[in-house]
Amino acid sequence: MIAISAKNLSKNYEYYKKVPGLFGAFKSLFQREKLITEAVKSISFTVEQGELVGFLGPNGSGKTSTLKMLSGILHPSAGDAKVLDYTPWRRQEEYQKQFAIVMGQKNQLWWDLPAMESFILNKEIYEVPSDQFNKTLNYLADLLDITDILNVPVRKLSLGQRMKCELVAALLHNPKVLFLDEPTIGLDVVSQQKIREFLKKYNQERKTTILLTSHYMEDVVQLCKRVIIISKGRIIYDGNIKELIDRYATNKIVTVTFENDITVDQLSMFGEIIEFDKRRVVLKIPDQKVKENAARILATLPIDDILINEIKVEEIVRHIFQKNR
Amino acid sequence: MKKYLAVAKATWQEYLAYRTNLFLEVIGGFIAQLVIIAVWFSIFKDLKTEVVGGYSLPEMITYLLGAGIINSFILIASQGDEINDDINQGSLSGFLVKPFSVPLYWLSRDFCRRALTFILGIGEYLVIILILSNYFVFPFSLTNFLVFCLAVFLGGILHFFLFYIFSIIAFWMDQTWGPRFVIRVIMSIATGSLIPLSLFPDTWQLVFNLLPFKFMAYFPLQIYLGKASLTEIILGFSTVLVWISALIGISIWLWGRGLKKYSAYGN
Repeated sequence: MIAISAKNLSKNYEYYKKVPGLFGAFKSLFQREKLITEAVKSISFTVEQGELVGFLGPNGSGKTSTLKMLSGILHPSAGDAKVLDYTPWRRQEEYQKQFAIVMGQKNQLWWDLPAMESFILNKEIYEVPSDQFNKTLNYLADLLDITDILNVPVRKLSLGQRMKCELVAALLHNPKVLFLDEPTIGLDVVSQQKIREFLKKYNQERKTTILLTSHYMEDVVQLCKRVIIISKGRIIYDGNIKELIDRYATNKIVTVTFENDITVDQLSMFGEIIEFDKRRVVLKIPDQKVKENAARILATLPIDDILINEIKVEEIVRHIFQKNR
Repeated sequence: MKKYLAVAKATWQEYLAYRTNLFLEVIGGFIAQLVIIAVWFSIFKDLKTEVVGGYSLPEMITYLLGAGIINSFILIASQGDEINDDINQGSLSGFLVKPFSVPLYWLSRDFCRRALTFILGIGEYLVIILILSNYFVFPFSLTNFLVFCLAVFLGGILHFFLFYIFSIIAFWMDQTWGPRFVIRVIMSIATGSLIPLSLFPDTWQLVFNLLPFKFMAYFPLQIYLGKASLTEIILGFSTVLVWISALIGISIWLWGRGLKKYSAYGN
């Protein structure tokens, strides 16, 4: 079953050019130049129920605008979208009770109150029955390991703890669809990992459809089978992460450590040198030549250690972004 | 309804965290009124008269005390800064995805704040009334007092919608404190909280009668002191209801337009 579908969804922002200086400001009272930015350019995709899809793109690529349209905050300029068969921007209560959005840069928790108070408020707003509320809260608090901080004012929590509470607040009404806009932004590596583990588990157990944006590759690689890459408002890749790697990773990264000092000249014939440090070199070698060249290095040079790795997904995506600039 | 009670409950707890600030706001708001009261004492003394503009000294002092109380928990308490910020800083986005009405959310928070300010102020009001007890006039009758309370309540609603309208202009303007400041300045005179409106020249009274502000302090206090006739009370209540309906109408229309813009331009 399809949970989310977008068809030729577009979003343009109109704004007026600001002229610097006092005179400019005065002039703009009478004459303003209208500018248009196309944030989202006719994108189409569908997401199946229960899927966890990563929405990847650099800042300003249109990820957040798309999520805002899907959650009904923004009206599209053109095109259509359906989430759970509802048109999001109609903002029907029946729809709103079935989805949630977590924005990493905005909080819905009340700053001066313990998170528990915000949870109780959401319980009333979403009209969650008490027994269901208690069950869900216990489940989530256990899974995220935050039982002991529920009664601490939110302002005293660390960013990681706050993010966990934000997630709980968003999930108390058991949404069928969850939009996450940069859920790990600003978090330390350990907290990031915990949030990821939670999302993975939650998605598996609850079969919640999750659409997640991030510019941290790790989020997407670890969580999502499928990735939608968006750049400058257009979808430039939509599919399996593995296929993405197969398609773009035509080279392998070979790291060699030597027993003695080595010169660049001895190595340059094997592949492109990325890093060089007397006894250690990192080479980029095309796939079909890896076996042969590695064998030759082993045979001709004083090897201490050799490692052959795939190119990191991060590399690949950076490459794709640069190509689409 | 239950949703908004929950909002009020959370707001209550939130503001309790700021109780010192709210308390200072009450005291601060009242100090100016005490100065005005002192001025009227000396006016009565210098003029060597019993009655000024139809007010005896105790009536005048009671009027000013009442105006001070209304001022501190209704008129100063909330002035739409929060609404302005929610729109401009984008918190509104987070509210819009939830199954509740955002204007009613703001209304619940606003009235919660008024109630809390009133409760925090009660002790202080009583002390001041006690100090000035020789000059304090009790309500004309119990009925007058109850009608007075109703009028104060309606004045509060009127005040909310007025500032609400001037706050959601934030959909079109980056900052709305300018227009709201102008209203506050006009309000400080036109509600009658410094000087009873009947003491102004006729032309001014005509202007004040065309504005909604007099229903926030002057009109309720006339009822309290028994200075308003039954006809005036009925006419006053009808006018206040017309004003409230008109402002609600305008605010609904503006809200719709504003949301359209918000969802077109984002924030």
